[in-house]
Amino acid sequence: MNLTLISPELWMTLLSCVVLSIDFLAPQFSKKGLATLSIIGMALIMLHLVAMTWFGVQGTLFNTMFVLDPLAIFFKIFILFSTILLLLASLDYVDRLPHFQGEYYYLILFTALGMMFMASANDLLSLFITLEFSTFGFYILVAYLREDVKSNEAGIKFFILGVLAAALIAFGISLIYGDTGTILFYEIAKISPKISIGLVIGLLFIFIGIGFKIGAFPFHAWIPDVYQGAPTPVTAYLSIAPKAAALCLSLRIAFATLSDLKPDWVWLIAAISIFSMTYGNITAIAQKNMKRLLAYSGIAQIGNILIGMAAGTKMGSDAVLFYLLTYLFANLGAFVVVIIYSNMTQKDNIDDLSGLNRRSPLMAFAMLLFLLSLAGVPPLAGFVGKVYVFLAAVEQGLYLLVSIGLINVVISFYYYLIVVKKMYAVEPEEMTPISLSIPLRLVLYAGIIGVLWLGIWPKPFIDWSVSATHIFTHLMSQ
Amino acid sequence: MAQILFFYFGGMTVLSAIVAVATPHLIYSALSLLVTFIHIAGLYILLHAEFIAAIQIIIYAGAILVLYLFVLMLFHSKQEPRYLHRQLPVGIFLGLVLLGMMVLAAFRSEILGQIGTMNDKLGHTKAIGMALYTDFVFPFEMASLILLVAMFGAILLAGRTVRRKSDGSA
Repeated sequence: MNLTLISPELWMTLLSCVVLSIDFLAPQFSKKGLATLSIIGMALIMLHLVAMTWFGVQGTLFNTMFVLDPLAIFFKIFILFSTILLLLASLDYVDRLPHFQGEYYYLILFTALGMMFMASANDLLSLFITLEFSTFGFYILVAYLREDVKSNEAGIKFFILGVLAAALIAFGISLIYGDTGTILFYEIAKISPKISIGLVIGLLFIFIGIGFKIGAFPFHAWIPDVYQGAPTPVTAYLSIAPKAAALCLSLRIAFATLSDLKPDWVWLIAAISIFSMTYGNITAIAQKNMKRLLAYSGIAQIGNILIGMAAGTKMGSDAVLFYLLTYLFANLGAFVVVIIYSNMTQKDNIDDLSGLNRRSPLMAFAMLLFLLSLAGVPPLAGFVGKVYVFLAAVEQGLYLLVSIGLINVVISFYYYLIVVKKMYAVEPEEMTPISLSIPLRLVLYAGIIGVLWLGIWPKPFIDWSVSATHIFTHLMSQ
Repeated sequence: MAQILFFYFGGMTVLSAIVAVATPHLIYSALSLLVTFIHIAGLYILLHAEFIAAIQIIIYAGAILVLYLFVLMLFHSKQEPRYLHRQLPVGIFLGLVLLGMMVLAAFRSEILGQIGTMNDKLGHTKAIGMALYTDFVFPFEMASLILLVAMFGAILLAGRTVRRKSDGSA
């Protein structure tokens, strides 16, 4: 058994346990030190993963239940990178928590570990277990502010709906197992051309569960309340990393396992995509709270990502990966601005951002770039991502999907630009400048660089996405 | 002998289940549920399913029932008003329907009289252990990590808060 394949996860487990032990054995150890340790540790694990890509390490473990391939490595690096940015962004926030400061860090680490496992899950049982693993961390993190009623409410809602989704997935898995006698993806792939009723219903249940995790349209109901109630850094994390990990799983299921059933699931995903985009964008217009606005815009962005999936080709999967990268920088960046602002003022309504330019030009400029990138304005990252996704769909002749997508891009401009207008054109109620700590500045700069780089010179990242999805070469369009 | 034991375990299961539903005292109800669980475990042993019997006692009789008892003791209830008894006919009807469906399913399906490929010499517990630690070791270990996280969760969300002096000066 080649344990090198699972070594990033083993290191990550070790790191989480070390952080945990330091926190309770040496309470006097500064919490910032814990965060620094976690960040350095994760950066090293990222380097390790990069080295693994370099040497072309790949293979499967545990009776093919765990797979390490370029796709898994891509998502692991993605998750680690977003976790690092998130920890940097939450340093100040954690300082203000009344209790359990150290615990915050290792819960984040464990959640990241769960999602790294998710990227490698290669059978139905580990799909379920890893999905639950990462979600458990989030249940706790969402309800982290014990004295805050909204956070408690969000925690309860998230927990109940999350458990429901888990129950649906478990039920679906049992149907598939009962019908096919296997839980391993590659064995299901062999069986899948033969459609049987248990397989179809089971897969639908699993898609519902995954749809819940990524917050696609009919399963999005938890998103606004949970995003608003959860601690802002947790919301930022929730809006990116678990979605990426769940998309990795759905790519694995739809593209690798069920590629023979493609004509059947394309329409399902296209429909979910259309509804997510339209619903997310139209509802976002009416929002007064910045976190809710980003929540609805997140639903719409998932719709855009699903366009790439609906294309169902190798190019479609490249587009999904690349879009996720652009989404990471823009969305996390926008959340960081909200984090800074609500840290300073305890407010997170859109109106409160009025005149941000006068109080902190850097923040306002960063927010401008992030929102324009989310909207898809050239030459920013979001533009390239959207073009890529739309091209993949056009190539497959999904013109209706693409035209609805384009209409939605126009709608989304409206609410993104309202925020921009408030920041630049409205006079602020108070003029006190907002000071930024060094870690927060770092995250903002990382976001700005990311958004610009992916927009102006996306080639290295596109190459990376293309090479990461080489397991889907059988879907190359003729 | 096995016949006598079966009727003993089966009869006690039914009797204690009726007591659990019928008694007005919640604590008695929970305790007779405990008797039910233990006798169901006896039925499992008669079926040579010793692993499930042990799990039945550990999880149901041990963990879940203790949880019930804790909840009941927090209630402070003297006697529940017997509001459910008006719905007795409905309950009996639904119970009979469920029972009928189970009997129907049992006689229709191929479960009855089916013999699997289990090697009897190995024993169930050993077979399950072998499967858990070889083929399914990955999800199994993952479950242990989930339990760790769940334990944090219980402490963080429900444990007593120790307010630390914030080291904001650092």
